[in-house]
Amino acid sequence: MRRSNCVEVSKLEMMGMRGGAGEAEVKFNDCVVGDDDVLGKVNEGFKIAMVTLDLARIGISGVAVGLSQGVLDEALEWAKTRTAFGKPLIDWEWIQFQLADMKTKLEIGRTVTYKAAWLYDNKDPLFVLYASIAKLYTAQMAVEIARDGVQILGGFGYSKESFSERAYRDAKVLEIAEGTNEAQKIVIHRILTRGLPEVEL
Amino acid sequence: MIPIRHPSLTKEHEKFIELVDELSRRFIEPVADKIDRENYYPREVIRELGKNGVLAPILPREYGGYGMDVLGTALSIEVISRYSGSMGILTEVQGFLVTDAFYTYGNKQMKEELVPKLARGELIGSFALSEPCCGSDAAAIETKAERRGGGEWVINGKKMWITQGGLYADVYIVFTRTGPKEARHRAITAFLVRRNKCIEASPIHVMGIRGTGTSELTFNDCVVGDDDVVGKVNEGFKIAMEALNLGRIAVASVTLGLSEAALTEALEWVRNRRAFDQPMTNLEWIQFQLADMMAYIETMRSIVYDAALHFDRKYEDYYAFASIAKLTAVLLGMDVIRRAVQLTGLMAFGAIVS
Ligand SMILES: Cc1cc2nc3c(=O)[nH]c(=O)nc-3n(C[C@H](O)[C@H](O)[C@H](O)COP(=O)(O)OP(=O)(O)OC[C@H]3O[C@@H](n4cnc5c(N)ncnc54)[C@H](O)[C@@H]3O)c2cc1C
Ligand SMILES: Cc1cc2nc3c(=O)[nH]c(=O)nc-3n(C[C@H](O)[C@H](O)[C@H](O)COP(=O)(O)OP(=O)(O)OC[C@H]3O[C@@H](n4cnc5c(N)ncnc54)[C@H](O)[C@@H]3O)c2cc1C
Repeated sequence: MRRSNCVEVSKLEMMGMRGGAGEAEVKFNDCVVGDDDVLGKVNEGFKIAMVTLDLARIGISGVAVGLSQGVLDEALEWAKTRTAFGKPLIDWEWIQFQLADMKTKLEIGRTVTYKAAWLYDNKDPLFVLYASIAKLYTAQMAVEIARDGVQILGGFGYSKESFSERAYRDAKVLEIAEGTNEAQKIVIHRILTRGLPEVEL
Repeated sequence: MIPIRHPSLTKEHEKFIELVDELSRRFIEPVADKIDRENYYPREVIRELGKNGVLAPILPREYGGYGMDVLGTALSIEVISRYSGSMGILTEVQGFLVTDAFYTYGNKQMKEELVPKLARGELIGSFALSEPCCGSDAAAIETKAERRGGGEWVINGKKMWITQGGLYADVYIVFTRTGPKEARHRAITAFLVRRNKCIEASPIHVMGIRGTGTSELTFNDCVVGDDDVVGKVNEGFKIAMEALNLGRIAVASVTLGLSEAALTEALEWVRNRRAFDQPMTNLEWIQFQLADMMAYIETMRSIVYDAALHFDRKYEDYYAFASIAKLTAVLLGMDVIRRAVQLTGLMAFGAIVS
């Protein structure tokens, strides 16, 4: 479907992932397209959506890992330079443990994301399972890391001058879009009980 | 909205809840969204709440309050926050942090002239403690007040994150260093500072509780008098801590109110939504989410009201309970709201504007 007057759009204002994304509610009113515009086969569109989404999940995990790395970098730098109660934040054990937890979660997230991508590249059907596992884990990870990062930054983390403020809002949508956390659980549970679906890779 | 019920609430509390709810619906609900989206400071709402005695309900009526106990005051902030978290915070800062501090520690003139105007929302007051150097470590603040001849003090320094501090405040309670930095909390004095050209303000843009006028302030040679000392010289830190003890209960109440509103919205959403050929409320996962949220909210309610009662009954360890309530309520509340956003899917993440 190409852009045309039959398409009506009303904009949505979002918490995060603002700007370029330009999310909108789109209405199609008597839009005319031809046989040539069918993508794949008639009545086989759902499969296209699902296979695309499998791949896109790895993309979402990539976003989650990137955002989290940015948050951790900012928190680490801040903890080294900010002092409270007479010493740098990073000398307080609680801060050290928070940073250690963030790093641990991030590396687990990175590993499972790369594994999903590797399975895809190697045409391994396990890819479908790992794409869901990676999305489920990294979306939650990104929200948690962003939350911890904002916390380490204190008031600065709540202000729009920090990267983490934006990352926190951006991260939340990763738990919702392209298959919610719960949708991933449905997929994972299905594979657990029924085995892998057949996909062409 | 989910009902506010608890064995510690009296008939008087219940009537007060109704009043605050009615006022909130009339004045806050229509602008709640605008406060957030347009970073709109609800000056008029503050005036309306003030007129009705619910801005600083803890004060006696003759001072512009409602003669409520701490529990009643916490309830008012909870109810207000069901409509707007920003408004809950503004009420907390104006009523608890500023007005009550002047009422409790201020001299006769502050108490008789300033306090009623603040409580009625005729004047706006800010609480200026945090600085670029230090937030958590408030005993390390650096803004200086130096005494010079003729009973005058000169204030210089920067304050950070000050709610309604920039364009809106008419008066400030400013915490300053009046001795060596090493003396920490034993050399901090609170002053009343009136709006003046010596104060420079720049806005800080924040993620949430928008429209509350969060600002950075610079005090350049601000001159105040002996009469402007709040409490005693070098005893200001205690004023800040006492105010923040009450503030903690209020912040916990904001979280409670926000969580209740989030659960109400999520419940209504899933009740009307279908997924996978069935009403969403048939799904066990959804039921368990709602059950968790409800359980957390009632846990929050108990600990918040309990902390308020510790104040009202003058228990010695009331301040520990204020911290327990704030810590627990914000953790549980963040969790409740995160789940609510998740349950409402796309609709919580964005709202249709045109
Ligand atoms: C929207 C908003 C409104 C505000 N309004 C006001 C106001 O009206 N008046 C006012 O005076 N202030 C106000 N504040 C300031 C607020 O009180 C401070 O941001 C808060 O006290 C935290 O201080 P900080 O930002 O300097 O963080 P820091 O104190 O630098 O702390 C950074 C992080 O390190 C942690 N940390 C610090 N010390 C330790 C330790 N020893 N061990 C382990 N962890 C530690 C902190 O918990 C935090 O997670 C406001 C802040 C915001 C964001
Ligand atoms: C920023 C953003 C960008 C987006 N971009 C696009 C885009 O480009 N193209 C596009 O097509 N879509 C897009 N979406 C839509 C997104 O994919 C949906 O929001 C998402 O699939 C969730 O659907 P929903 O919002 O209708 O929630 P619902 O499906 O109504 O779900 C509500 C809640 O119920 C849960 N739930 C549903 N069914 C079950 C069940 N059986 N068991 C347990 N829980 C369940 C869900 O997990 C969720 O938590 C975007 C969304 C956002 C927020």
